[in-house]
Amino acid sequence: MSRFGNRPEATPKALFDEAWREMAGRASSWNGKVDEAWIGTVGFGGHQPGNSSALFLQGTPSQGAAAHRVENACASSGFAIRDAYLAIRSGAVDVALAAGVESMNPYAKAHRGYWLGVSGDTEVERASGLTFPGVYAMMARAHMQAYGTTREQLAAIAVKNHRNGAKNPHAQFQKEITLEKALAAASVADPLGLFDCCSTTDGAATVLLVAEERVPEFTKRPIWLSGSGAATDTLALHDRTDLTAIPATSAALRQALAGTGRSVADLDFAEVHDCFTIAELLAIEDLGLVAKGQGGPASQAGRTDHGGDLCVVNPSGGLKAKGHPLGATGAGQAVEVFEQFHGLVGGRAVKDARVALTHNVGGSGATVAVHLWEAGQ
Amino acid sequence: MSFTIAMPTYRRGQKMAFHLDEDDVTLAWEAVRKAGLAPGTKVSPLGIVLPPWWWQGTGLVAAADAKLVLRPIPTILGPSLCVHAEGPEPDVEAEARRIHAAAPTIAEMQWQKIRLARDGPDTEADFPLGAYVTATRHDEVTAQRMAWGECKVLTWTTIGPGAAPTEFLRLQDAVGAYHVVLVESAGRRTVGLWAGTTAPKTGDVARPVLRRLWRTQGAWRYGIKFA
Repeated sequence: MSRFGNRPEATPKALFDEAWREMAGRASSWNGKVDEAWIGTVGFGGHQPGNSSALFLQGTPSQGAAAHRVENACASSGFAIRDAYLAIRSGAVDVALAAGVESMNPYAKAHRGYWLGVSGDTEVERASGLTFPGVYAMMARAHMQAYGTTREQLAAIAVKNHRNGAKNPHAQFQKEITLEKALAAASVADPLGLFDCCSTTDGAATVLLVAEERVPEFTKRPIWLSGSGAATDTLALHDRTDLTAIPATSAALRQALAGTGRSVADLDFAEVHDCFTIAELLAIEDLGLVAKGQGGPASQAGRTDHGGDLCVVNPSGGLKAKGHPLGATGAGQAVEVFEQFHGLVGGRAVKDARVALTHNVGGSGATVAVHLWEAGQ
Repeated sequence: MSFTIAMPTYRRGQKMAFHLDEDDVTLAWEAVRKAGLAPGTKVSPLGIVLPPWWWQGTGLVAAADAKLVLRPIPTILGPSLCVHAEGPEPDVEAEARRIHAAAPTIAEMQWQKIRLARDGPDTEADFPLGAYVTATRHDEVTAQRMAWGECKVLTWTTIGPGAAPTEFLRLQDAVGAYHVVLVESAGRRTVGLWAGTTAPKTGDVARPVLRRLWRTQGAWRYGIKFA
């Protein structure tokens, strides 16, 4: 995984190469070749909007392999992982690359706004002056009205994730914040303030997936991708029945757990899509970590923090602190799983972590990919 | 003589004046709605050219021989759009005074911001403004949304200064933060900018209003807001 952050000096290709080099260094017996690759990118800012997958493989030992660009907004590389997983499950592919790349900061604010906006409902939401923070703010307000959720409870999520991000050398924001600072920040889309929102980030992440029978060629410490689920929903929030949930999360979770013998009670940690604090709150409810309406109190009580009674949520710092390079976020979550299971995370380690979940959302919930990961014996 | 008139929402000093998002086209819809004209009613527009989507959205039929006239009539207190029976212009001044007396006001400093925003340059040269939806489709959606009835506000947000999409920066120049509401009507939901004179609240009853949204390539694009 590349360092996530404000990286105007790095082209998307350079970001990909940085991530590739780290991955290759961790798979010393690998010859660098893959049978096929799926690379998530929104093509943000219009840079290399076409044929980008070929560009990314160019100059690597995998140049020439079949490669696909996957575009499902912020869930692009979550779906890239799923595509690679299904290809391996089908028997058509043995060695697959799932990756994600995004370069966001080199572009003017108007361009950033445009490229973010076009992943949402453009006919009504965008034409109503809504932004993604605005859509999630509407969900936050609806949740506050329905369940008494407070700004303090949302801010507690930001504080936790920044605390975790401060221990992550990959993270964009390696600095803790206080509850008071979070609450005092400027409003972006009321009731969401600046610290309720993730940043624009440049970065890339790469994941190597290998068929079970080929694993011994690559590592003695595999991580098993036990389950994969994905679902879609309407682009626009107003076309959904429930304004206080992302139903595609629940649907994807059911698929991911099906046949695994696992439940969310088995999770040691979860990397969830906290593009906004309310998004993490909805995620822990939609994933069934807490009952509906209990996301706020659970977050404020530290139940999803290290030492809490639930699984640790976003030990990497999440999108909030680690950063959110749209197309790379889902693959970045998988890298956190790898690093946690291999003890490469220093002070943000989840104790005795063996089972983890990643949850990657596109837009305001139009696309969701959920994956269940288990440490090898 | 019976007639209905519509005037701008706000008072500016002794007169009524168009806000950033109002003009003759938006007032024309207010006027025909106040007249309660049924779809299919023939109306003769005089002194105003209304776009095809406007006729599609209202359900009215433009006809030169119609017995009803829709026309702008300047008053001492500001612009108005009037619906009346064919024949000479009605005397609308008394009704204009009544509307003026009841209208909310905006501070003069705010009017200066509105003027500057209204006269500001387009920004579409910066990026493909509005390229995500064709003008034809946008107009089609606007016409469909004109058919919405009374709504209830389910949730809302306020887009803070500097956090608006580029095409709404002109609006933020004029009014600062703006509100967007998610409303429900007859089991359907939609979102829209808030054009009410006070901030929205959950549970507010609202109605769709036609307003100017943003300007691109030298022309204003219209859409439905709620008030």
